[in-house]
Amino acid sequence: MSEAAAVQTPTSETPMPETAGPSRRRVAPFVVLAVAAVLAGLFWILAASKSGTEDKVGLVESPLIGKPAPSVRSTTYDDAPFDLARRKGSWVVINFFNSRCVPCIAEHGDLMAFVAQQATFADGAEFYSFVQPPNDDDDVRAFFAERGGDWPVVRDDDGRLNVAFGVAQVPETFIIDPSGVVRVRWAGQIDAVTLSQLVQQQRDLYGKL
Amino acid sequence: MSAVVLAEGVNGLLGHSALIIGFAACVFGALGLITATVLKNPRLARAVNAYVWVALAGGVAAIAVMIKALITRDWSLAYVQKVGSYDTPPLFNFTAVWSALEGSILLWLLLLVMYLAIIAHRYRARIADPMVAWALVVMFIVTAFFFFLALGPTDAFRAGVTPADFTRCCKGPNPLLQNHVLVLFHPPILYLGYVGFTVPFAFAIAALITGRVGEGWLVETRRWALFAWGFLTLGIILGGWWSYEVLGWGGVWAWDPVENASFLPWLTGTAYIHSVMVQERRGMLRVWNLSLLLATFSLTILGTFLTRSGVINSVHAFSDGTIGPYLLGGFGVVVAVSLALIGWRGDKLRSPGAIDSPVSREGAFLANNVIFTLFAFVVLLGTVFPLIVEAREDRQIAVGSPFFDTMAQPIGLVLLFLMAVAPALPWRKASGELLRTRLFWPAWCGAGALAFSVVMGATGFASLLAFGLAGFAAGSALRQLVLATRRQGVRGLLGRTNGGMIVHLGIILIAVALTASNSYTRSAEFTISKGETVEFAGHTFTLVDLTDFETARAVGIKAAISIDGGQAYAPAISKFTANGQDIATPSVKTGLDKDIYLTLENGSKPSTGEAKIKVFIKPMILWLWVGGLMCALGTVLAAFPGRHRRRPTDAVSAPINVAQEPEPADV
Repeated sequence: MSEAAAVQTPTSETPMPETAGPSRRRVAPFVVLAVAAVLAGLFWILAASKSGTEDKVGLVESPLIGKPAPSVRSTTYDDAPFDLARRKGSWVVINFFNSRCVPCIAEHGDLMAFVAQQATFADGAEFYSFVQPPNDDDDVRAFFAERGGDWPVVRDDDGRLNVAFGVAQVPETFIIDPSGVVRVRWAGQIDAVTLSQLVQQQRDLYGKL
Repeated sequence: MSAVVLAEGVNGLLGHSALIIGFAACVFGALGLITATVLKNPRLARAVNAYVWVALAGGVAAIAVMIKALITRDWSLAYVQKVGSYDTPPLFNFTAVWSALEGSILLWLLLLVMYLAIIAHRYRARIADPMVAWALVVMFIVTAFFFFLALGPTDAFRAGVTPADFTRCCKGPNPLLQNHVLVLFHPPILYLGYVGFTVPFAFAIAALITGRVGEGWLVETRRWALFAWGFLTLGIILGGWWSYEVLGWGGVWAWDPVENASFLPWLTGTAYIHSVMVQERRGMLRVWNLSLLLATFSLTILGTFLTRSGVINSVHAFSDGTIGPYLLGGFGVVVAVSLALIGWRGDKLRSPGAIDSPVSREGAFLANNVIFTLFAFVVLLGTVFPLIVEAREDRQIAVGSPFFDTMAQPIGLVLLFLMAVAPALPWRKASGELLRTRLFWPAWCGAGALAFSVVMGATGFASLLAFGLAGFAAGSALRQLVLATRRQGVRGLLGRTNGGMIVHLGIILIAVALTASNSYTRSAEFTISKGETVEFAGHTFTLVDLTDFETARAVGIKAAISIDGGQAYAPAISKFTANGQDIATPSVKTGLDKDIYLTLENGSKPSTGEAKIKVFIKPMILWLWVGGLMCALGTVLAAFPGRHRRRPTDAVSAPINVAQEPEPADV
């Protein structure tokens, strides 16, 4: 607040001494009104802010939802090029993770189940893991060697993709429709049933396009 | 898994009862005192004073019950499940009390009731004086508000849900909060500062309500403000130290919203303890000083809101959605009441005096105030700017250290310049000749400091300017101290002016250390094998050993790195098993001129004997902590009355001055 109060009040205070005669001008109410107007604005902004979403597990808001996914051009850990734009035409699920993150480890089995389930459909969703740096290459490879999963794992060594998707804390899962529009952002650990239901729900909503 | 809410245990019952009794005592206390003051009934006022002790008992009992519950691992409480665990060592189990939102409100409450009790006890003979009565009413109301928070939105004594497995449910405090002994000191000391500003705030409101135009309220307030300021300063420095020792990123200050939240009241509080001298000496800037106190208190509430409601992402934030609206509401009420009172009384309180010349002590204080306020405004703007953008454009941005550093640098330089010139300025008007005489030696100190830094190899215009101005300012402070001690011996170190100069020296040291460490830190990353030596910045680093370790709470990797073939330093990474969180523990070789700061990075493997290490060479960090100590020492010295302590300008209202004999040093 009070910077504003602080900045404003001296304007009433400092010039006063020079001009102050026996008759005192009513200055304070006007200064106070000006300060109050500024603070009301601040108050309104604070009151309107969404609070306490950071640690939420589940569907969370994202400015990306309903908008085309950020462009993604990178390589996978098998050194194959990866371009998200070329995945258009199918439903895509992206899971941001880090091999040291505990919920990521915990959800890995469910992700395997989900991928296996989608593989049984002719037009099943494609699944990609995006790494959140810093993460040692060997650790990532060891993670998959140890726990299974043979889907492409996409590099993000400079963290640009994480920033583009606005990933706050891994794991996060995004569902992208066949036209390349982001439909769902899920923060935190997810299980196979929920994920497959979410994808189905989105298919029903937005068709196969 | 079946979720069974345990029947409210003994501790839950005791805690809730203590809070309810405390809340009721505060409400009755406030209402009773208002009635007594309006009806001018001193007997009632004295009777009401007893409620203070009930509130004190409530606040103390609440936190005592929580500590007991943590020690006995009373899992019937949700809060104990959240921050307790069987494995937490006793020290960190104790500090777990304030390691999450609910408990930190209990700590706040404890300090608040203690301040309330001290104020009530100190002024018990003058409770019938409307000034004191209204100040107590304000404190009762603020305390009631925090009792309410502790009862409702952040209920620490809520009954927990039976977990499926007690050994797995309860992880203990955040690993970062059980890693260093500073967790015992930093939060309470910082809170002593925050909460301490309630006292001057209460007197400022009382001054506005009673319309006491005189300076009487100031005398009551000044030392309390100084007391709170001292603790706030120390708390902030300790926070920086903690960050340096624990977080492993090699820095002390990151312009994180929570850090900014503590810095904002510090800035307005600092402005106040300077400008209040103008009022005492010349009777000017009355409304301005009141506004600064009101601003400082409002900023502590706003800061608590920003960091405890989860609206802003921060490493410190205890995100919890439920308390936000209440704190914001509290902030709104404080601001609205303050503004309304100033609008109502402001013109009446305004002083008729004028500043004769801008080149005078009061002119310098005014400049100081403008700069500090500007600084606070910039920091506040940077802190809430992401919210403004989010509200308007629905996208998230972050305002980081580049913005703050760019803004802070020129402001810091101007403040150093003011620190150099202001102590030499006389009140009212300075002549050029006088300034030349008084600034002669300080200017030479500045030139000497500049020359010394050039010789030592310092580069960069802004840094050199900072070192030169720091020398200049230090010269000015030393000149004052030398003159005072020559006149009065050791007593020349006491009193506001002289203690203040010691604080100035501390701040100058901090400024120099920050400039040097920000400008000349060098860092590099190495991957080295066991037995290998790398060289960096004239030092050699040999990886002597790299081992796995396991404790009751964590598993991890520890390196032994010998610097220049000497003693081995042991940076480590621990994974706290309960949380799965990696915590890097840096290891620091502290020196007079520089610190060598080592961290072990992810990717180190004891199996292959290969370590990834990061080395920071950080100049002058030690002087940052020395500066902080000098600030604390100077504050203590400033609280003792100096020999030439002026009696406050005559007050208009009789009752205040009758009892206002020179006070004992109560800090």
